[in-house]
Amino acid sequence: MNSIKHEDHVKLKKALASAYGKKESADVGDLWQVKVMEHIRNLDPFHTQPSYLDLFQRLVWQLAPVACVLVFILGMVLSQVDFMTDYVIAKIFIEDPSNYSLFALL
Amino acid sequence: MQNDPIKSSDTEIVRRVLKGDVNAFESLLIRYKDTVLKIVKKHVPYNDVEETIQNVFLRTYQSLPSFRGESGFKQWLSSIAVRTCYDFWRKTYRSREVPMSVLTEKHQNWLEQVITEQSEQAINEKGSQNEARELLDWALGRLSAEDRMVMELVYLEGLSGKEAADLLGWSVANVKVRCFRSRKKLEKILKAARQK
Repeated sequence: MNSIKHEDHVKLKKALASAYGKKESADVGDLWQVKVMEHIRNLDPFHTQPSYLDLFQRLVWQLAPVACVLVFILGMVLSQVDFMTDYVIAKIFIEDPSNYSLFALL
Repeated sequence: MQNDPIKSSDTEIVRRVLKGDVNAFESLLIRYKDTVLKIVKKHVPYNDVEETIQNVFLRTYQSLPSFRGESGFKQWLSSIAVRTCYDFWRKTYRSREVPMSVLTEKHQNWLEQVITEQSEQAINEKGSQNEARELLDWALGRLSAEDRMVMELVYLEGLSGKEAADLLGWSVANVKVRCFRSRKKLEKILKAARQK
């Protein structure tokens, strides 16, 4: 009967491991790379949970144009409105107190 | 430069891909294609290498949200590659499509020559012969998908039980027990091949 001794198994293992290592040298083209990237581009994007900082940044940039428009409108309104400073009011009161009470009523 | 894919770290590229920059994944693919090719070529028949490597990278892309970066991207990718090869064999065995090559007289002669050979160099040279590869495929084809993966990783590649366990996602004890049993099975198969 042809039995295999332990040292024969060691030899067989070495030869088979050598044959196994040679499988690495098989040549494969590069077309698969293009196919993989094509497939990935057609997949749905990831739905990841954005961080609070990201959400805040996104909100700030979305509100920035609205804030600019508001500042512009407010500037225009203020330039059109006739307003009186504390200095002018004090001057009227000192110069003509009776006229001031009428002015205050208006 | 943080946005240069060549200089960016793996974690940085993963972060960009997760934010929607799908094209950044290509730099990971280019960076690690040789690593994955090396693994897949060894475990899967030549005709199935291309399809399997595509599956590895698609699986990697889809698993990116679960990447934590603890053991490094290369190690994480390697384990996906090994598990994809394991799934290939499970699927192949389930559909009974495993090619059953026939053992001929030349293979038995090769076995006899290896056993009687004394020089280590001559034994390695024997390994580069077609008969060696055919006999290896024949013997591995008679093992289950689990036994096959363990034998390839531990017996033929020389990885430790821990390394094989990490790649396969099994416990070290499971790998060691399976390795012992499958080695006995392989020895039995080779013994039977010699007696045919």
